[in-house]
Amino acid sequence: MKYFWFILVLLITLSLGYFASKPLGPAPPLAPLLDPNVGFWQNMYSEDDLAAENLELAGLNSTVKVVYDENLIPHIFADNAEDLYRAQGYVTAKHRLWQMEFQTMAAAGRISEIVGPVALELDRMTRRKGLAYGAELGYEFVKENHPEMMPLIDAFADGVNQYVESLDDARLPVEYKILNYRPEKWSAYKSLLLLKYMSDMLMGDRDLQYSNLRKIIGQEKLDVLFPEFPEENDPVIEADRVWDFTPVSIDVPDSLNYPNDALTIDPLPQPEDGVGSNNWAVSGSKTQNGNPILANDPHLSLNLPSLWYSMQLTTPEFSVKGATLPGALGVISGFNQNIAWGVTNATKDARDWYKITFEDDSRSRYRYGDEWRESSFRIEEIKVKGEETFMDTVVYTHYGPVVYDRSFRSDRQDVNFSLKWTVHMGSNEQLTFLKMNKAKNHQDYMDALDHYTAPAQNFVFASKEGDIAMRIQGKFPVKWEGQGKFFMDGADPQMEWQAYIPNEHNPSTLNPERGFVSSANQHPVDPSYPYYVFDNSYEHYRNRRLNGELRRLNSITVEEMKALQFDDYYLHAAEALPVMIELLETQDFQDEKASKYLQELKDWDFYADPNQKAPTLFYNWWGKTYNQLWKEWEEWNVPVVRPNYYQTVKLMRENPESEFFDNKMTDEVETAKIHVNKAFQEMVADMKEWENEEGDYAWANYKRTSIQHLVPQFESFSVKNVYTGGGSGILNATSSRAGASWRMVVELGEPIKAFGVYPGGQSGNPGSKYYDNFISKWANGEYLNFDLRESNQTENILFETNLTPKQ
Amino acid sequence: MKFIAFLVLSFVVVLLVNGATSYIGAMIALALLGALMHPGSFAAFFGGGFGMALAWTSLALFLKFSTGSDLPEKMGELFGVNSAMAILLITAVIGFVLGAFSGLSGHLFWKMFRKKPKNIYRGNL
Repeated sequence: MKYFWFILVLLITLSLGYFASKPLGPAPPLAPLLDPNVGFWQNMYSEDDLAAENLELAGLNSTVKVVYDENLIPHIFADNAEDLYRAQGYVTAKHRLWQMEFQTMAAAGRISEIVGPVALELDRMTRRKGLAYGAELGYEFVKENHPEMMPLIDAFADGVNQYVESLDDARLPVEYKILNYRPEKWSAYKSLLLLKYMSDMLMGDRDLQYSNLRKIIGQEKLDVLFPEFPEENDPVIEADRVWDFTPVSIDVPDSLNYPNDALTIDPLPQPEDGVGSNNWAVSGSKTQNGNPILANDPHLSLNLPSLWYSMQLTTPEFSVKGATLPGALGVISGFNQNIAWGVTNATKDARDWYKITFEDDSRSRYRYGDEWRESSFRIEEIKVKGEETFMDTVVYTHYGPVVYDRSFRSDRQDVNFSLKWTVHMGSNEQLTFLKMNKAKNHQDYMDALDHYTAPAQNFVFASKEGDIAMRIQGKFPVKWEGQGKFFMDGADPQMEWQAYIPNEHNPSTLNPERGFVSSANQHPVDPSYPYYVFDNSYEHYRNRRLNGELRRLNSITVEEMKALQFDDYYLHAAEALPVMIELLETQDFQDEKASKYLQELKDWDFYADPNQKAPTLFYNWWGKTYNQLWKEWEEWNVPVVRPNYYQTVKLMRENPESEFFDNKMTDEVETAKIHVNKAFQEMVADMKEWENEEGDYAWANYKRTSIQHLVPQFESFSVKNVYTGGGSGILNATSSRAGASWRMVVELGEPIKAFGVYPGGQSGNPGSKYYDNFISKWANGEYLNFDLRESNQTENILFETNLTPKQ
Repeated sequence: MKFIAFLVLSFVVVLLVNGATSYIGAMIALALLGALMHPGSFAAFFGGGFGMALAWTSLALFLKFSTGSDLPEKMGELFGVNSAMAILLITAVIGFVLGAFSGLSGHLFWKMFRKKPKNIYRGNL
C-alpha cells in the first residue's frame, strides 16, 4: 500500500509541477507568473530601484555616461556615433523592450505567434499590404546606397541584443510573462520595419469608396460634394507662394475607362479618426524675445506604453533631444544646439489600386497592354500559437502585392486588386533623422529631407540663426487630374504612375512674409501649385484656427504657444451650430430637458473644455444630424465615402433644400431642416438616458479619453477616463482614443529653452511609477523642462550609469 | 512540534532555493527535506504547503510594501478578481499546493523504504 500512496502522490506532484508551468488555454502558466522570485511581482520595481552605477557593454570604444533626470529621461553622452547608438539601443530596450518588439511583430504580421488565431486575419492583411516586403527592400537599399550607415544601425541592434541577453526571468517585461513568450534577437531590419509601420499608421486611401460612389452618383455630383479645394482653403504653404519651376510633364490619357465592378469588398482599415498633427514656427519678428519659437504636437492613437520615448543624445559633434521612436535610431521630433524641427502627417494619396486581369486561375500571368506579364508569388508563412502554421500565397505584379483576391476580403467576388504604394520602394528614412539630429542650419535640414520618402510629412523648421521653414516631403508620383482617386485598370498602361515629383518641386517655404509657417494636415498648397494634389482626409478646421491665431498674435511668448497647443476652440461647432439652431423648427419646447439643452447650446462660447456641457450636446446632435443627412448612402450597403463636415455644413447653410438631403428610399421629400429636427429629438432622448445612467454630461465625462495598452485586452494597464478637453478637429485634438501623442515647444534663443510632454511615461513597465506619470501633466496642458543638459550638470538627477567597454 | 519545525525549515528552504534556482528547485528541495525529516504525513503536507505559501506571500508582500507599486491591483483586474489581496491569495494557494505535495512526496518516499521491526510482540490481534 505504501508504494501505491507514494506513486500516487508523486504523480500528483509531478503533474502539478508540470501543469503549473504550462499555459492552460488562454491563461498564462500560473507558477512562473505568480512566483514572486521571477513572476509579475518582480515587475513592481521602478527603474531607480534597480539603478546600476556601472554596466559593461561589449563593442564600446570608450565609456558612455547615461544621466537620468528626475523624469527618467536618459541623457546619453558618448565619444562617437557608434557608441552613442549602441547605448541608445541598450537603454531603449531596458525601458521599452516589449513595446518595440511587439510593434515590429505587428508590422511584420506576426501577432498570431503571440496571441493565436484571433490575430490571423490581421496578420494576413499586414502581410498582404507588403510592409515586411517594403522593409526588406529598404534594408537592401540602405546596404547598397548608404553602407556607411550600416555600422550605426548594427550598433543599435547590438545594444538591444546585449540587453536581451542579459535579461533574467525576473526582469523580463510583464507582458512577456503574461503572454508566455520570450524576446528574440533584434536586427537592423527591424528598425527599418518600424518606420514602415509608421507609414501604415498614417496613410490611408479611399479609392474603393470613391469608386463605388462614382458608380452610384456619377462624376458630376461627386465633383459638387467633393471639390478638390475647399472655398476657404488655408494651405500649409502660404497661398501667395510663387512656384518658380517648370513642372515635370506627363501624358494624360485621352479617355478614362475605370473598372466598373460593383465593389462590396471589405475595405482595409484606415488611420484612426483624429490621427493628424499640428506644427508651426514663428519668426523672431513676431515673438517677444526676438527668437523663433517652434511647436509640434503629432496626434496619434493614445497608447501605453507611449509611442514616444524621450532622450538626449550627445557626442562631441552634436547634442539632440526630443522624442524618439523606440526601435529607431536618433530623435524623430526634437531640437539640437542650433535647430528645432517637428513633423505632421502630410496626407497625400500615395496608395493606388489596380484591377488585375489574370490569364487564368493559376494567376501566373496578367494582362498589361497588349502583352501578358509574369507575376511572382510570395509565400507568407504565418505561425499561429497553438495551431498549425498558416500559409498564405500573395501574388505580386509590377504594381505591388495583390491584396484583395479570391482568398482575402473578396466576398466571393472574382476580383484581384494590386496595391501600388511608395512604401514598397527602397528608401532610407532613417538617414533623414540621423542627419537632422546634427543639422546646423536650413541647408542641412533641406539636405536631410532629400532622403525622406514615406510616410510623407510636413517638416517644420526653426534655427537659432533666425530662419523658419516648412517643407512637405515624401515621394510623390506626378499624377494627372483625378489619377488615383478611383480603382484603376491595371491592364491599361495609361494608368501608370509615370514620374515622381522632384524633391526641389515639393512644396516648401523659407521665412515667409507673414512671419510664421504652420501645418495641421490641411491641403498642402493652393490651386496654383502645378502638380495634381489629392487626399480625402484634408483638415478644414484646425488649420484655419491655427493660422487665424498666428496671424492675430504678436510679441508671442512660449506660454502663448503652449496655450495654443492646448486650445479647445471648436471651430466646426462655431460654424455648424448656428446653422442647426436656425433650422430647428420649435424652439419653445414643452419638454424641460429639451429647452435646457437648447439654452446651454445657445449660451456656449464654443470652447470644448472638460467641464463644459454644451460640447457634449453639440457632438451628439451633430453626429445624429450627419448620419440623418447621409442615411440613404448607408442604405446602399457598399463602402462609400461621405462628404466631410466642412462641405456638409456649407451645403446645409447655402442650400438646405438640396436634392442631396432627400432620402430617395422614403416617400417624403427630406430637407436639412427635417434631418436637423429629427436629430435634435433623438439627441434629447439620448442625453436623457445618458444623464439617468451616467449623471454629469460634462464633455470630459462624455468623451472619456482613454490611453489604451497596446494589447487592448490588458485593460488594467490602460488609463481610462482622463479628465481633459479638446476633440477631433480642435487644435487640442484629444478625442476619445486619439490626441496629442507628444507636445513640444522650443524657443531658439541663447540658451535654447525647450518644453515637452507626452501622455504616458518613460517606463514601459506597468508596475513602474514612471509608466504613466506624465499623463496628469499632459491632461492639464502642463509641460516638463526639456532643456539640453551638460554631462557635468548635477541638479535633478535620478541616477547615473556608466556603460564601460567589456574587456 | 515536528509540524512547526518542518514548516519553518520549509519556509527557509523555499526562500533560499527558489530564489537561487526556480520553483521546481524549491519543490525538489522540499521533497528532500520531507524524506530526510520524515515529519509524518500531516506535518509534511501542511508544513510544506504553508512553508512555501508563506515564503511566497512574504516575498510578495515585501515587494509590494517596499516598492508601493499598484501592479498587483492591475494583475488582479486582469485575472478578473479585482483586488491585490485576491491575487496574493491565489499566489499563496499555488505556493501551498506545490509545497504540500512536494513535502508529502518526500515523506512517503522515506516511508516506502522504512523497515518495520519484526521482533516486536503485538499480542493476539
